[in-house]
Formats: sequence, C-alpha cells, structure tokens
Amino acid sequence: MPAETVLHSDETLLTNHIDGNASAFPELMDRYKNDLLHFLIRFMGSRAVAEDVFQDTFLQIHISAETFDPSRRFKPWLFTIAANKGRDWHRKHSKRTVLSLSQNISGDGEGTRFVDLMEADQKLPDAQLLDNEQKDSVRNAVDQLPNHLREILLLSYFQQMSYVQIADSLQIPLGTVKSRLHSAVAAFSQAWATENNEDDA
Amino acid sequence: MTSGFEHLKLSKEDAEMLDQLVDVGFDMNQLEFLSTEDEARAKSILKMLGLLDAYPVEDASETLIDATLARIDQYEAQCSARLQIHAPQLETTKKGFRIRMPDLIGVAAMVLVTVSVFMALSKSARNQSFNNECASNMAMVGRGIFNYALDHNGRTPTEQATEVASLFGGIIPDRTDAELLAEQGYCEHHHLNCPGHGGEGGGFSYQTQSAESWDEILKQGKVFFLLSDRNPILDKLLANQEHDPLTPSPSHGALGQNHLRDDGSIVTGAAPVFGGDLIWVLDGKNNGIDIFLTH
Repeated sequence: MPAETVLHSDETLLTNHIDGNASAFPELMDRYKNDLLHFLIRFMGSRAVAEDVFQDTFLQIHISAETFDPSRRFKPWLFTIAANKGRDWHRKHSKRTVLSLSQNISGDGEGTRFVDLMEADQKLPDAQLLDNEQKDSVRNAVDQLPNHLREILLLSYFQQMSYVQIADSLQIPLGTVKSRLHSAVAAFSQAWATENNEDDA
Repeated sequence: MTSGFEHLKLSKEDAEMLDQLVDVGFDMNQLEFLSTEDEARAKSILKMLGLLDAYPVEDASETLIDATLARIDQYEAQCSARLQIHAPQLETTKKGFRIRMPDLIGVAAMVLVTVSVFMALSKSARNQSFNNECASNMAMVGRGIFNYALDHNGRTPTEQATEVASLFGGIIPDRTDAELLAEQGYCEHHHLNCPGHGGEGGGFSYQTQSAESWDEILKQGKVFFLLSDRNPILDKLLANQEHDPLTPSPSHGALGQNHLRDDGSIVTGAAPVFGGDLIWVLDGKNNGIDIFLTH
C-alpha cells in the first residue's frame, strides 16, 4: 500500500517551520516560487531584481514567522511582505523616470480624463495571439506605470485579492485602493495605446 | 515617483464594472443578469487586463530556493556569530550574574571619578554663586550708606572698632555701623552678610572714615573702597597667627574678595594687599590719606 501524501496548509507549514521542521520552509517556497516570482518580475521590471526581492521576502518571512497569526491566511501576508520589499527597492533606486502619457496623448495635461474601455476594445488583440514585439509593448506599458498603481493592478488581477485585502495589506484606505485600481487600468490602457501608436508610426 | 497618470480615470460605467469583476475574482461567469452592454463592457475590461498575461515572465530556476535557503543560513550564521562575541561577557551563576573583582574595581573607580568631578563642579558653582550674591549684597549696603549720607549731611553711620585698636598703636578707629543701616531701613539685615562667610552677625569688612576725612578724600578725587569682603589677613592678625599676604578670602573659595568702590562699582581682587594702613587698598597708594578697613 503506497504511503499517503498529506497536503499541509500554508499556515501549517509555517507553524512546522517554527517548530523546527526542516522540510516545511522549502516546501512553502516551492509552492509560491513561480507565483511570487512572476508577481515580482512584473512589479520590479527585472528578473534579477525580482529574484533578489524574492529572497528578501522569504528571509523576512523566516525572521517574522513567529509573529504570524495562524488564524489568518498565509498568501496575503506573503504578497504584502513581497510588495513592501519591492517598494523598498524602488525607493532606494528611485532615479527611474516615468513618461507622462497624458502629455503625449492629449497635450493639455490638466483635468481628469475618462477612459472608456469599450471604445478601445476594437483595437485590442487577444493576449494569446500577441507576437514577441507586442509582448514587449505590454511589458513597456506595465513598466511605465508608477509603482503605487502597478502593485495594486498586479495584486488585484494576478493574486485576485479583494479591495479589502489590498487595503489591509498596503495599509491604505479602501477608497484609495479603488481609485488607484481605476487609475491603474485606465493608465495601462493608455500606455498600451501609446506603445502601439508609436509602433505603428 | 510622480507621473502623468493621476488624472486618468475610468469612465463611470467601466469603473463600476471593474469593481464587480474584482468582487468575483475576474470570473465573468459569476456575474448574473448582465445587460448586453454590461456584458460587452466586462469583456472589454477582461480583454484589456488579459494583455497583462502577455507580460513576459519566466518560471523560477531550480536554484532559486537553494539560493534563498543559503541566504537564510547566512543570516542565521551572522546572528550566531554576534551571540558568540557577546557570550563571554555574560558570566552567570545559578543565582544570576556573577560580578568579578576587576569589574567591581572598575565600576567603583568610575563612580569615584564621576563623583569627584561632580563635586568639584558643584563646589566651583557654589563658590561662584556665593561670589555673585555677595556682590549683590554689597551693592545694597553701598546704596544704603549713600542714602544714609544724603539724609545725614554726608556722614556715614559709624561706630568705634575697639577690637582692632592694638593694630593701630592704641588708636581706636571708626568703622561703619552696618547694623544701624539695617535697623533704620537703609538695607535688609541679610544684605549685611556675605553668604559664604557663614554669618557671625556680619560677613563684610567695612571701610570707615570720619566725616572730615571724607571731605579730604573727595578733594583728591580718589576712588576708594566703601566695603570689602572679610579680610583673612586681618583675621590672622587679630588671632596673633601667621599671615600670608596672598591669602584669598575664604568666603568664596579661592575666587578672591569683592570690593565696593565709592562710584558704585564692584571689583574682585585676587588677594588683599597688606601694608600698614593700606589694608585693602588695592593699588597700595593712599596719597597720604589714612584709609583702613575693619570688620
């Protein structure tokens, strides 16, 4: 009779790690290595930096493991720490400049502009059909987003965190999370349009 | 980091649909009763966000977990090294920390040095405080003498100093009657004493002159001393003891004596000058005028 494999929850694995189980922490990292690394690559814009922040994140998890409340879920805590580490890195390397899309597109730069995605839909290709050049355009569009918009877009779309979870993780008001996500989606839409207009030209 | 994105917002309809999609984890199938337009809007939003999936990412390498574990081990090793550095200092017994004799001596020495420095500073500050208060008292007494003289045709309150007659060949000199100043309200009793002198009914030495001598002094225009601190030389002479001409007043440590001049100014002399009748005359010249101080 084959040995039955017991699948522990994330929270149990962390508890086991605190209790000295040597295999618990590698297993926990293995579960999230791709998910977290993808998030960090998109957030940091560089694989090398993302791997560095990945290591920082799990080191922090190891150091702070005993402060984790086992009654809460591990995954939001992990991505909160990762987002904080990523934000710290951006803060230390904040020489990067961001192109002002509003000036490139509209030229006026004043007042709120409302983006309707229904109107943009006609020009959107399916993600699965994008060639390498278009994938680079996606990357450029994402990389142009300011960090505070990008992290919310990534946490919301890829990690499917709710507004409440994001607000709790980033320690910002719920309304701010909503407005930032709205801005992030609008900005990504505009950045994508700008990238493709430039390519067409 | 700032950007030009802050003014970009979704249209109201897009924003409301996005909120609904967030609530259902971007699974459009969970949204019920959508109108045709809302459904198209939801699809547009998902299509736009779907582009994010095309962001080129690669899976983690085989070594990423090992590298992370190595980093954690390195951190733990550094923590252990720090503990080992501090461990020898924490010698304990079953009852707690053990204090070694060298430690005790070191601590005691530090305490002694600290206390001695503190006491020296405290003593110096105390003497300076006495000196300042003494000068203030002198000024008050000097003003009292001046006012008394105004009220009494230029005469100062005097009494005979019988106890110093032996120093002046049996002549009994006059001296300022300080008590009279206080009794008649020209100053307060506590102004009569130097705070460093310790009381005894009068901490000051007073210069006394007869009314006739005052006139002579004023004609010469010489600045002379109305009041001075207790004279240590005079103390020694009266007690028939050896005296040192450079002995400073004991009233303020070694800070010297205060002297109130007739122009109202107060000067501090490091040591009294002794020479016959020229006691307390700092420049050592009386120009033939017999000036002396008694207390």
